[in-house]
Amino acid sequence: MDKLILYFQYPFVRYALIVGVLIALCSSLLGVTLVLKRFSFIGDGLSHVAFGAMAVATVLNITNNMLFILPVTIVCAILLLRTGQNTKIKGDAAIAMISVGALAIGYLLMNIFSTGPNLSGDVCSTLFGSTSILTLTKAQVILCCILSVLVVTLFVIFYHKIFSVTFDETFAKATGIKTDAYNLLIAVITAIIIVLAMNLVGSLLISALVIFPALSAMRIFKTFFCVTICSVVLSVICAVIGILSSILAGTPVGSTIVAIDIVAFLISSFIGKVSGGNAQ
Amino acid sequence: MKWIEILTKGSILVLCMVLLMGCGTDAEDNGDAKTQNIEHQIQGPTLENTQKEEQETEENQKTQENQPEDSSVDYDLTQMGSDMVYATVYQMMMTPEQYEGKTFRIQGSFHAEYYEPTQKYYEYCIIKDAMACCAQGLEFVWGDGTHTYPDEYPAENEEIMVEGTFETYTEEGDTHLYCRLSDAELIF
Repeated sequence: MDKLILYFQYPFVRYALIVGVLIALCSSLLGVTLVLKRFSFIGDGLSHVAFGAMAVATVLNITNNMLFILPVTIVCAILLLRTGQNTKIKGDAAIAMISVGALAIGYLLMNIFSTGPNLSGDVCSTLFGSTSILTLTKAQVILCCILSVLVVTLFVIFYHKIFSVTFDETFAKATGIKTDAYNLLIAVITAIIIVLAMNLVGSLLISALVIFPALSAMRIFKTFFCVTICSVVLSVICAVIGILSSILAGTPVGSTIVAIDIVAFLISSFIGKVSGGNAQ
Repeated sequence: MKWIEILTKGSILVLCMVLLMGCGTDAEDNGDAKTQNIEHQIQGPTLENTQKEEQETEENQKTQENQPEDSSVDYDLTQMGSDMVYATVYQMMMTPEQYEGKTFRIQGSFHAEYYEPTQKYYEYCIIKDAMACCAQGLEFVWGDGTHTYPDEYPAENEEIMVEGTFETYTEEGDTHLYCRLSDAELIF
């Protein structure tokens, strides 16, 4: 405990906790919608796109690479979520194609135009978020706070519309809801969360942050509102436990958070089985 | 009735997570043990500062004040977990102005590198991170710099402990800012 109090005197530890909580909150909010819309894997695809964009930003020497990564990821999110009906390459194939393509190009660029002496370290940190959450600057924390407030506000304002689009898009369209616009909104919010979460858990583990809290909450609760709230609470608790225990134990932050998420899922499944609650 | 059920389920879940948190902190000792076993990984010799971050001098002074009383150095990295060591060294590289003049104790493996333009050997203490992939090297100058390499220095990759004062410097004809621990005490 003394060690933890001492560590909290360091600004970067406080930044890590603030950003970790915010990212966990945002990702779990949208996680329920993505899981119910069968878009669980889109987080993985977009995170690879973000990795590729980050490699390009590094090669181009863009100081604030977020300004490049965010628009690219948003564009790809829109393209992926709109490919369902109108294109020759359908849903999962498009996600797989963009995902591995971006990952390969990103790694290739980082190899060819390596800017640092420790390429494996750079790649490892980006893919698995080993300790990148502990290296945030004040500017990055502020940007994260602004984007998180934006995501939560949009979710709260459009909660009922997102609910309609999530459960029955056809019915929602028939009742006059502009489903395309709301799907676009979901795509943009997803992209923002993915870019934010890259710092916390790395590109390869983002999906876990989106999926696990939602699935855990669905083991226990039955309504959309309860599942969303439980998902948020669980995600934040797991992120806090994960960050604190990884700092104390010296384990990689991202994978520790995901491991805690897995444990939470198992506990939730057990509670769900015992109480007989199951949302799916 | 429905709300009671929801609250009960939620409480059980939160209780389980809190218990889990208790288990998480027990892992502290393992982390420290792991830190002792430093693998030998080498980063390039350049420790240059490429960007200046926001000033947080006050916060760092506060941090310094909160160090254990028996500590003879400002920052004892040997007492930190590997994540904290990595993050602290990263901050030293990114915002060296905040750490200038502070004393550090670090532990890692010894590495020396010959740099052609200056025709000098530079000595480093290589500290690995939690993933063992993002090792960072911190240059040090043993004592007044009169020790001769390799005769007096430890063997390559030998585990060492270095205690010295953090400073920045520039080489002649080179605009890059370099960091090192000067007037260092070397234990191996």
